[in-house]
Amino acid sequence: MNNLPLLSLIIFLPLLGAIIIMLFIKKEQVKTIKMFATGVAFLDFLISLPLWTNFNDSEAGFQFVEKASWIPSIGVSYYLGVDGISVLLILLTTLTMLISIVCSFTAIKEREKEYYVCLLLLGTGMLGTFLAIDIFLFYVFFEVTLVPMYFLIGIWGGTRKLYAAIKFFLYTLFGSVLMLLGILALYFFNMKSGTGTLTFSLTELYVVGPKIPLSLQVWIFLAFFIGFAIKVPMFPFHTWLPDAHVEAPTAGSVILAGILLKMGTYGFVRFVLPLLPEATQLFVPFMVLLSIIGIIYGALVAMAQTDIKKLVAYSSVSHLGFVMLGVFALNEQGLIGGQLQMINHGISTGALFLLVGIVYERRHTREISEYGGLSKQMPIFTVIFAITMLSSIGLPGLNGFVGEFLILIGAFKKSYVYAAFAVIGIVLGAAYMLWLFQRVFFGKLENPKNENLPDCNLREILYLAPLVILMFWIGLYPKPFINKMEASLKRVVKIVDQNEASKKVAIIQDRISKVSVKN
Amino acid sequence: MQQVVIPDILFSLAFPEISLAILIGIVLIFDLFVSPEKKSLVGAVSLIGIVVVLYFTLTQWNIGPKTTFSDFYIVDNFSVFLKSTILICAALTVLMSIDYIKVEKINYGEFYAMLLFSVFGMLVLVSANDLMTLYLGIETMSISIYVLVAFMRNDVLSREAGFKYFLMGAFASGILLYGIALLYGYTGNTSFTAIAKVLSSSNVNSIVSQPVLILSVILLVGGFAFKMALAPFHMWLPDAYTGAPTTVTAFMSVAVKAAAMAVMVRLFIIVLPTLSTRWTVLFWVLAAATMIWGNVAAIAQKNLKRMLAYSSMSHAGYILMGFVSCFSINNGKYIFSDFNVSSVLFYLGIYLFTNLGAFGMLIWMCQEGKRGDQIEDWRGLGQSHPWFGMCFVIFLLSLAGIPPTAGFVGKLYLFAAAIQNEFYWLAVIGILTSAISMYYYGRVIMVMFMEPAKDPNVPFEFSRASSLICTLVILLSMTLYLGLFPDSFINITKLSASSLF
Repeated sequence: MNNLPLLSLIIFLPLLGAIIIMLFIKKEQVKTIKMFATGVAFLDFLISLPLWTNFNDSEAGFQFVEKASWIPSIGVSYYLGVDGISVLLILLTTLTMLISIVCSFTAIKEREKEYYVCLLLLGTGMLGTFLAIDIFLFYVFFEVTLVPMYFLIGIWGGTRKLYAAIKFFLYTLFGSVLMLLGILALYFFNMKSGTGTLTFSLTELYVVGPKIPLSLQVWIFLAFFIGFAIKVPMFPFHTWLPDAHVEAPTAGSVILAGILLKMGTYGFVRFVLPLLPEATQLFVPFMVLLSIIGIIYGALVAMAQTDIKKLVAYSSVSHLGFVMLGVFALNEQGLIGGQLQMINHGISTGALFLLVGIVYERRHTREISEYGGLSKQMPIFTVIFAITMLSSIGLPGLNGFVGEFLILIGAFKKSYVYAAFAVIGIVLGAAYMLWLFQRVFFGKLENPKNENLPDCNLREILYLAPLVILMFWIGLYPKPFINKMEASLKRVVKIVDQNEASKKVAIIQDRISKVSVKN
Repeated sequence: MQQVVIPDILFSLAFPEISLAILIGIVLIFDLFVSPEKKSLVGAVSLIGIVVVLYFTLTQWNIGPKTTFSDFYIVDNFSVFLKSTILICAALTVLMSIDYIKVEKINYGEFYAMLLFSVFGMLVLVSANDLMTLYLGIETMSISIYVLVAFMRNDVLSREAGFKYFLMGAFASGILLYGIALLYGYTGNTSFTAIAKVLSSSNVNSIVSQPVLILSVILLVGGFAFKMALAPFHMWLPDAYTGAPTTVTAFMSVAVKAAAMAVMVRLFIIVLPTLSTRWTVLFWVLAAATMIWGNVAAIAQKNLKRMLAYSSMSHAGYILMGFVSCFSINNGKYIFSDFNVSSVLFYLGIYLFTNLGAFGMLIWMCQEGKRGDQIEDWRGLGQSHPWFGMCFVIFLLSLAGIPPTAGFVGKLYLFAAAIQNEFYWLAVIGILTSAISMYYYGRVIMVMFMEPAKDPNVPFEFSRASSLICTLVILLSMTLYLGLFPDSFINITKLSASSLF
């Protein structure tokens, strides 16, 4: 059992499913396609559960490692592994994939075969991104996710789907090709001054990373920054997000917000912080500034929206600003909070998009003004929306609070100014969410079109339930989640802070020598 | 009485070219005996012949480097690799043409003979070890291609294309010849090995400042820039590529680049390394200009064939980027880099499959009286024929450099080569233009999959010729295979590159 290549199975099972659908199931057999896709996703979720149960919490390095030589002539290996940073993201990915497949049953009524094939291919790409330890392999999967998403937005999207699809593709492609320059610079530095061998594997590059001279580190940091900041998205590179989210079909938005955006933040924690510690320290004020702008700007713009989906899209910008703030606080609480908040955002914003999708399916409009007083007509829906909204705001007892609180501690430790601005963001977040909730659910049911809306049916409750359960679980008992992340993140903090520690040591030694000279 | 000395000629080394010449004779004579309806037999004969020549070429692997014909002709792994590439390109082109030239009503056996003539020129060019062989090869290759471009006699676009290409090509050959003459004038030798020896024996600084040599380099660069269609010497390219029969365009876009690149690598890296400070700058500018111009011009195109023509121009720019970065000066010593040369060879290899595939899709769409040349003609194809649509998507993604296709590995390799020798700005330009290129490739994908068909009741007409489908399957599988498992191919290119030094 231990010798099963579990990670490869997890990554390639959706691909296998997609190929089977492409080759063997005819496009008229829609029900078969849906059942099969659900089955594949459910199986994938099941085989990713051992990553939770058999995970060694105290191990900071990579577990379930699989390594095979792939392109030895340029130093590329097929190297997979999971550690505290990625394990929760993997589980989130498999769960989100299952949920998005189930939620599309009634939403997509044409070209279903291609749709489910695209979703499954997207799944393979996302899982591969989080599990790859070889940077080349990571980059391949990172780019592979762009193509199915492009098709998802462009074929099954809303009114401006063509514009949104190509904008999404080109914007993120632009970022990732610039990141490629940084990767290659790192790769050649390693060859010339590092281990002397051509290699892309992270375990070897982690050793070389801190040795890179600061000037080169800054350039590599900027290259990676462009690539990941566009993905997160950080201000001012966020303009592709509202279009992509609004025009994408529901499942596309859920996956985009839940997982694809996390690839950016994951990239920062996995690559930028450990490989370029000095440049990271140097850029902290810049990154914190952009994060805070993202938090506050995202929240303010969200408040001004009249389209529910666009509001949630901007709230994503705001929430991920929080995550980046936590990550660049560069201490244990900040990083754990940021990592946890990545998961929380995936759960709550994913749920928000699902809920918007439910009501869109019924009314085919997302304008807030079209709604009002829905709580009387759709009570179950209201309750679920309320829980999700409160989780998004960060109410204690739900998952959002744990993450935000840890991030605030981390930011406060760095500088109380950062925390002050972040707190403003929390307040604004509550403002636009509560206002949205009031306008849509409370008040009088004035619009006659809203009078006979059916409440959530069994399928919808079933796919929202896991997310709600998780919201309460992480909110009330976050310990198992935090335990998984602690060891690896502590190691990252140690690498980044090494320089700080050695600087402090140097200062202390300096003072000692001055004192001894005086005497 | 003076003694006549017969030079020692190893004919066995030239066996590929000799067998190809015999094949051309066979094809021409066979063509006389075949009735007009059965001209595809001539195609079959030439295909078998090319495979035989390919076999002879491959037997020359690892026997080199050896020269013959009093040093005019060299055989080494580098030449074997590029000759095989050109021969595979020719074989696939013949396979695609068998049905295509019937559709375009140019079903003459001379088509295959002309194709083989140009292949002959290319093979001679790849093995050239002398300025005269170089010119011989270039001219043989070019004149045959001029004829092929103008082959559709009844189509005014084709005639105009051929004439334009011929006129400008003749002019460029003249410039090239002038450069060759100046080089010969200074060094007193036409053989590459002899010139290299003469130039490296003298003081580098004095060489670099010699006006004759500088002028010679400029003219040589100009002549080759025309052949490779580098901006701003590329003006013939859009018209020639658009007007020519599509199989000829496909063949031209790959094989001419491969042959020209071969001789450029030999000439500039082996023969003229001492002048590298001169020609590196020139090629740097040409590469940057080509990448930018090609990609930007392709955005505006509505004709798919013209768009692919500009895209192949930009690919010449990427290949040149790998070539330019072959040199670095370290402590005053010139360092060759077989990493860079192998990146050029690798990209030529995968570009063969990708570009032939993209043009192959155009050929597939070409039927009686209706060519699928406009992008609009492809509207909605993805919905009615998803498999063919996906095939085209994979070729386009490979051209753009998106994983997991071969184009991605090739582009990565080229950028790595540029960064290794610290040509950072060139790499940045390459990367940004590569991202831009996704826009116009994406537009074709968009039109195919995301837009409804112009008229749902009018079915798409496309070729059902088994030869074409077979070719497309081969090209598609190679594009994906080389993208997922490029290792053995990279090793082959590394062996080929290292045989130069």
